[in-house]
Amino acid sequence: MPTVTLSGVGRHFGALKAVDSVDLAIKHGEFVTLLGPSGCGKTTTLRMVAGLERNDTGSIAIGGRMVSDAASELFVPPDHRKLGMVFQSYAIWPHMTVFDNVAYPLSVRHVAKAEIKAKVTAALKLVEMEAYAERPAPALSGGQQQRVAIARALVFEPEVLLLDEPLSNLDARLRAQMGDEFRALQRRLKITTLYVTHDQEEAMALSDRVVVMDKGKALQVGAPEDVYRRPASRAVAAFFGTPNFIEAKVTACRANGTDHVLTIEGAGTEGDCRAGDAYRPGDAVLVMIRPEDVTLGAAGHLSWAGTVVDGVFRGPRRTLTVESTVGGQARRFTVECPATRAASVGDAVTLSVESDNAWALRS
Amino acid sequence: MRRRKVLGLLAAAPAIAASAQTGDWNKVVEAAKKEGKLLIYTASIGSVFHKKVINAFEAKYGIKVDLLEARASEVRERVRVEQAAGRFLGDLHHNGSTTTGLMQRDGNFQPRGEVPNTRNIEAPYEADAFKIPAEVISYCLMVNKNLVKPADEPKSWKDILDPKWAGKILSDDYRALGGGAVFFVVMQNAFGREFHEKLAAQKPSFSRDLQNSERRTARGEYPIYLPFNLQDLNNLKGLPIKAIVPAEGRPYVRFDISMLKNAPHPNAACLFMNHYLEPEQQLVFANAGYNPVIKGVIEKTIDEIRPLLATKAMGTTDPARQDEMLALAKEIYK
Amino acid sequence: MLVLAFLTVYPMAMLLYGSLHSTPPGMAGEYNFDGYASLATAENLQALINTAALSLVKTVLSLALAILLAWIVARTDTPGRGVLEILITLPFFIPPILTATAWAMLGNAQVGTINLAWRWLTGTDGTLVDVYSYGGIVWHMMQYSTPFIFLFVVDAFRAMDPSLEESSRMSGATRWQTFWRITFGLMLPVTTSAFILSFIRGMESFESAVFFGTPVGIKVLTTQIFDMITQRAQPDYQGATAMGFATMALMFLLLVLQSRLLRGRSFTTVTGKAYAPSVTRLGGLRWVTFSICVLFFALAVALPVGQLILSSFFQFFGFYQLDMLTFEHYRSVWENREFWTAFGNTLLLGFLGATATMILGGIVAYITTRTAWHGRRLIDILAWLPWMMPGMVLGIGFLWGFATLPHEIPIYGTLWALLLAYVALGTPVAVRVTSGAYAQIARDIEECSRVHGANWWQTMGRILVALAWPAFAVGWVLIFFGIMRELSASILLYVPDTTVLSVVMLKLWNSGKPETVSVIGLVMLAMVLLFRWVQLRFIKRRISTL
Repeated sequence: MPTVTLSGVGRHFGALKAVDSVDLAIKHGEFVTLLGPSGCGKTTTLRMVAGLERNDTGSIAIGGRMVSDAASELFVPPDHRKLGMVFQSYAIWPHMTVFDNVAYPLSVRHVAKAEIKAKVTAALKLVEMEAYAERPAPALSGGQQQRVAIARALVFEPEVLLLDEPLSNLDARLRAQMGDEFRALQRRLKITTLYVTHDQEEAMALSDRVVVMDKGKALQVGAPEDVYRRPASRAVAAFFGTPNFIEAKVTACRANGTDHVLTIEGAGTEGDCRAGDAYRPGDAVLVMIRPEDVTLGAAGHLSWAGTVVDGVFRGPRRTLTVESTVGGQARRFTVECPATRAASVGDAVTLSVESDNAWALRS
Repeated sequence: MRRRKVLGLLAAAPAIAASAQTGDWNKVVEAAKKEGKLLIYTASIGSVFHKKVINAFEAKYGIKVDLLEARASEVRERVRVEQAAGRFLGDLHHNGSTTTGLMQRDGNFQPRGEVPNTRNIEAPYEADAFKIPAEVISYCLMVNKNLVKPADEPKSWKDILDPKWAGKILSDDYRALGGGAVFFVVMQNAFGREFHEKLAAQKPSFSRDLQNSERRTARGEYPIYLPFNLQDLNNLKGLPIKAIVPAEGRPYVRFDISMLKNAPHPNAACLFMNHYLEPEQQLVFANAGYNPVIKGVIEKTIDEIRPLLATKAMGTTDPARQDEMLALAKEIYK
Repeated sequence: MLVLAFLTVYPMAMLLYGSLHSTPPGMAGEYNFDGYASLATAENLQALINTAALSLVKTVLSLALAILLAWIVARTDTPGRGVLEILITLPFFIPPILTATAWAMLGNAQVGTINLAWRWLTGTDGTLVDVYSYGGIVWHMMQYSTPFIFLFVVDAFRAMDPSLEESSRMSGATRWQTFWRITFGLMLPVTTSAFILSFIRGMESFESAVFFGTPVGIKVLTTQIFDMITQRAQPDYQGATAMGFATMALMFLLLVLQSRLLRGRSFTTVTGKAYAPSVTRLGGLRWVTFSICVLFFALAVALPVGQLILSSFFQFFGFYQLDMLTFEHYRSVWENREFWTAFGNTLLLGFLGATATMILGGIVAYITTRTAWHGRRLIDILAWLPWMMPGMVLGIGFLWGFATLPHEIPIYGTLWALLLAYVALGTPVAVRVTSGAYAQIARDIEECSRVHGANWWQTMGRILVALAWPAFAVGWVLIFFGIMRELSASILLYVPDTTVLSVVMLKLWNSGKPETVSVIGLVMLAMVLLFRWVQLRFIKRRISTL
């Protein structure tokens, strides 16, 4: 039984559909991330789950209880939804101590003093902040505030934990560390989590499933690897990194398990690639190739000859731009390769890609 | 000498009158005591003499008196609105004769009933079916003794027109209701427009804050202040000032007490009116610098006040011509 | 909403009726526009120009001074700023009539102390200052508006996230540019509110104009209204109320202007992120800022208050001879039974009134600033109304309104009448103060509380009010002392049992006892000092935890 169910949830501002009929079911203990560029509707969706905004269409259920239904005008206010939430700014109340901040969800529900003390101490221990209990809240670093915000969100043992870009205010190292810690904590507590971020790597690393959103719509829902390797559309594919897209024509198609193997030609090459759907010969497709899947030199299933026109050293790896001209048409490829195997600007190279790593989309 | 005698005789009159109709009056007194309470609306704000007279009344009859004090127009508007809304809270109304006259016209009062002491009232003051005269405010000149040598003191109202006082006169505003307007009317009646045109040329400074104006004169900002409320002399004891009643006399303004429509305590109200006209109570006012309204009181007044009160009453304001006079004052004093 | 409508719309409706009807409520008459027609005179135009010019000049000067002082006290390391903060605000709490008297003694052209000193110093017989002039009126009004604006803005300065200023300095802006473009810019909701409140207050100011203006023929709108009501044989209520509405219409334009200025901008400076309010280190300059504060204190506080203290021990205000030394005035206040009744009533009304007003104002401000409810603009306007109507006209509105209620509703003639009038009169300040504070609090601070199980009231009390509490405290004090001073409505609504301090003071003043009034003024000042001390101690405790 899913812990959070969104069906047909929408939020409209006049003609603008900030969120347009989103369906989603989150299982108990699952970590689901809403991912998308800013303005895609992910935060609005989260706020509707929280009850901070009303959905204009559809319904939301939490823990099997309907909390918001546009049709019947049912709306449970946020304080009755039994949620925990971490805000982007942490929203640590500056006039309270760390302890009081964390104790708040309990004290507003009139929990006994002794129990509050025990639970708050436990929650602070969970985020390793027990030593800071009596500190005034504003006298904390960003990372510490984030831990306090998480402790506060967890202390009431909420049905669902909501997080709105909680790591975006931290520096890169702290972000990775906090992300890992949080993921470990979430696994340990098995708490259902809905997480919002615009950072794809964060989403990949933390989530059980990712919802890719754009312009108010949920474009694709799936495990991070699925979404990354088997995107449903160009928009989803383009959201992760800078993939190369090659236009081609299908010459043959055969099923292979749940997938299909296509034989394609055009764009100066021919060979096999994979696809989620069946295509007919003659169909135009767009083949997505991730820069890190392109190898230099050896001939593979799909290959191009070209010249290196730019190279950027990135420490562990190197990003090359390779230009390949076939039939008078110039094509640029982004290639990620190990930093040690030097190919300098001006070198002639051969690019090749395994069939398994080429993914066809409808063009 | 002969006049004295007559006054003395008349002073004995109340005793005779009271005994003549003791029966009726005793009923009023008894009913008043039963009512036990009295609410007076007054425009005489913060008057300690008023308080004294009230305290004497409370002590004598055991009737509790509440005072609602506000400025003349505020008292009037409260009475009007309350009566229009069917709230009859107050019993007596104590205000200047102009406002009282207007309220009488508007029907805010009811007949006061028999008040024995009214027979002692001295002309030109008189009672009617609704109201009794209460006390009289007299206006004169005030000079700063440090700035005005005895020889220079104005003897006549016309002396203030002497060019040496140009720019040195502080005055209550003639263009607004109050002492200034009374002064304006009385001078206009006595000396005509010419007087005011000359006074305007003296460029008097106007202020409506009477008490402060008196202090300013005492401190030497101005040598002359007018028209000076004689009863304020009490507050200024010890300051270098002197009150002068010019030869022509003093303008005055009368305060009246009237019975409000549907007064909840009419007998107590009636009794209070009578009490107000008792010689001892009128003497309280006279000693304070008000002119009494009954006969035989001035003579008993303390020495420092008596000569000032025993002067000619020069005239008072005329409600019928008030707006006309205010307009004229505005025209002359730009 | 209903409460607000009863408190503001109802008396206003009575006044509107009064302005359109040839006679006041309860009398036969006809509807006409005579009241409005009678306003169109050259004299009134001159009065309007005088009023607007005086108010504008004094508001601009006070605003500049108040902001400077607030910045000095809240954001710099000027020595003694804790004490200065209390002292600077004192003039606001002195009854205006007393400071006016004090200044009249100091600055009259003939024998004013300042002019005497000037003549003695220079050996000439020239006049340095004359308070009976436009300048005198402005100066006297400034002694009230400067502390008022200061109180209004100082906590906004204190609560600001310094990183907003720091980022400006890092972008190459000078300290002055930062102050002007960032600090001042972010303070716009508070400062424009303070400006408008103060400007409107200036348009309605009566004491300064009547005291210093009337003697030299300077007319303003309120003295014109006063004249229409009290200085004519037949009070012209129609004209007076019509003028009240005309004034109100003009002030309304200002509000529209303000909302245009502020539309669509964010002024959130208190966020859930970490920051520590810091002060600018001024170095040697801090002695300059210190002197500015001290100078203001000396001029606006020490001189008049010193005069008050001195005169309270002498038989007569302004006559300082040894043989006139006396405790008589203190004794007479101590023994004045009416004073104690009034004092008790006023304290009760002050506590209840200020508290009720802050609650109402806090809710109204919440609705207008933090919800998307359609009626919120309307409420906002409703809450402004009592401030825009000159006090002496509004007092009549309350009298008419409360007296004509059915007798079953026991308001007229009870403390309720005064309490309700005070709440209505105080609501505009309460709404401005709290909405200014709310505007600075980030929304998620509040949402976070709701999500974590607090209902609306809990969130309001434990988060919003708790965070905005310095503003609430300031608003409370402003309203409390506003109630202690209010006369126009009080004198029309009190009955002997419910007499209040302002009425007692008027009585004493009118009976020629300014020295006794000084004593009461000093009692009030002592209360202010106590209140402010307690309040600032609380604020300090909070700041030290920040």
